[in-house]
Amino acid sequence: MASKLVEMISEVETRAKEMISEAEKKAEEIINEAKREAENIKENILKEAQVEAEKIWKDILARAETEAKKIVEEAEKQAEKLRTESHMQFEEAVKLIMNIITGGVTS
Amino acid sequence: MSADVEKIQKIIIKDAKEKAEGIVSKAREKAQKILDEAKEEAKKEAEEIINKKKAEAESQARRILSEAKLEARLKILNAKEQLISEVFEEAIKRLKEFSQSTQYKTALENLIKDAAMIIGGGELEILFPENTNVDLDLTRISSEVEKQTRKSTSFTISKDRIKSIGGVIVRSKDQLLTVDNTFEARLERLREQLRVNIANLLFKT
Repeated sequence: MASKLVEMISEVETRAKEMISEAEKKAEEIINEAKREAENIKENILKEAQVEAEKIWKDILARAETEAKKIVEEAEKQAEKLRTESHMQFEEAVKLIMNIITGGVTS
Repeated sequence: MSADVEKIQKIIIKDAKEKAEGIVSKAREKAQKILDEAKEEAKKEAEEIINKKKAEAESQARRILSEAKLEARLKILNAKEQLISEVFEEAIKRLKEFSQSTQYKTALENLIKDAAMIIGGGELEILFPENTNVDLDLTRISSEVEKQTRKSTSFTISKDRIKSIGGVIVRSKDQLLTVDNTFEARLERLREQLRVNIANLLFKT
């Protein structure tokens, strides 16, 4: 009778151990799954960051290039303006050289 | 007796169940923590990536703008240089024409006097450019030089001719002192000053 009782309790204990073992297995799976998911999340976040960084890079450089183009174009306009506006003074400048080089004879 | 055993069995199973649930629950908490930490870490790393790229882009943008500003400055400078060169070219062209004009005589007299004064008078020799055909009043010039230098002054005209568009070279008889008053030499000597004057004239704002 006593041995029957021991056997019965032992069976239940085995089942209990199995339950715990299953739970440990499940826990390990949960953690491994979380680790895999964490890797994916990290990868996705970093991928998105790379895309965003690339976009920011392109935007900043595009803006700079547009501004640079504007600066150079403005300078070209200014150079052309110099040429046009100095037309009247050109003659005066030539006369100045002539006058100095000839010792003040030309006017 | 059987009821007691059943009770024990139930307790064992209940404990095991609770323990198993505890293990799974802890695992879930740990899993959540892993996910949260991964997100946090990834966000930080992402921020670093973006900030680094942004800083690099801004640095390159500054370089692009700085190069553009330099290019712009050079374009304006080149335009100014070009205009100044054109003024000099035109002046040289007109100086050549001037050496065929009636006013050239007066210019030569002034240039001879100027050179003679620099040398300080004395026995002087004048060298003219090829094809110079001007009748100069050298006696008057020497008298003017004498007045200012208080030194007896006379001029002789060298048979040697110089290659020049106009002007003269005056030298002392002993050839120790020479003043090159050809147009080219004067242009060269006065170029920097003339450049400033021309620039002021052309580009005054």
